[in-house]
Amino acid sequence: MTNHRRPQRDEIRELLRQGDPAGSDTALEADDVARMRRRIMAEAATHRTPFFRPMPTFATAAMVVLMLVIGWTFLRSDDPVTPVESAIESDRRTRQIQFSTPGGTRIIWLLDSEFEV
Amino acid sequence: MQTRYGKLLIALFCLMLALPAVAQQAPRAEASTGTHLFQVVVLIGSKEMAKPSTDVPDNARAAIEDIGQFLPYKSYRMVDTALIRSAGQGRGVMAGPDGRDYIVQLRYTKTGTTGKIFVSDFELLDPSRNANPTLIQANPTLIQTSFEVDLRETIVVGSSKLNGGGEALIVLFTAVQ
Repeated sequence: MTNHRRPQRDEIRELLRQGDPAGSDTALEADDVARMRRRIMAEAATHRTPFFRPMPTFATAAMVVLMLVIGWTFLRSDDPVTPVESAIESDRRTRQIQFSTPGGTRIIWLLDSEFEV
Repeated sequence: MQTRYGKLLIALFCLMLALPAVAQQAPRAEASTGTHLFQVVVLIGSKEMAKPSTDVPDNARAAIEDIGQFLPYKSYRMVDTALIRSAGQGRGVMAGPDGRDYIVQLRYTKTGTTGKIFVSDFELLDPSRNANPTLIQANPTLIQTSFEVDLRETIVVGSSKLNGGGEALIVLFTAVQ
């Protein structure tokens, strides 16, 4: 009967360190780290994104204008009223007069040459 | 930065898609709260003496008494009356003389905060005129006019021949509420 012993945690850590291909490298010196940092910051400063970027700004403005136009079109086209054809034909003589009675009732009277009840 | 503008454009696009729905909802809300009730009474005025109608509404009766002293007609016969509730435009069918149907339709707007109502289109139509080939003018419009009216005010709209002879068609229009 074979007795398999479970490896201990320290042994696993040691095995991993031995197998690490970069395990023998030493850390960068503080001067090297500082130099790299300065270089990266300098490059970032030279390639900073400008405050005003024309393309996204114009695209946003165009979208807003398009949105307003479409909204305005819907508001204008929401009126379901169909235009009523003019009832007064060219050879139909009509005359409209407005007046008030002594009692204050307002009267609109249409005198129509073609009138027929 | 690019992703921020992308998100902004997507948000604006979604807003653009939602705007028509909002635009459609707005008039509905106005329509549900901004309705008005109109009373339309159609009368025939005649120069012949006749028994006056007894089923005339009170406000119409007062207007008839008022115009009776002013117009050259001796009797007024009520043809039909209708109540139209509307939110900007309305249409109703009324009984006309001789068994014909009249159509009354109106379009109005409320003017400011004074309570006045501007009726931009008021029409009384006789559709049977279109089907009558003996009429030279097959125009169904009997009355077409526009006016401004106060709430609970009655406007008299009449039509007759140019010389005012014969009978007259008279509409009493009241903005009830």
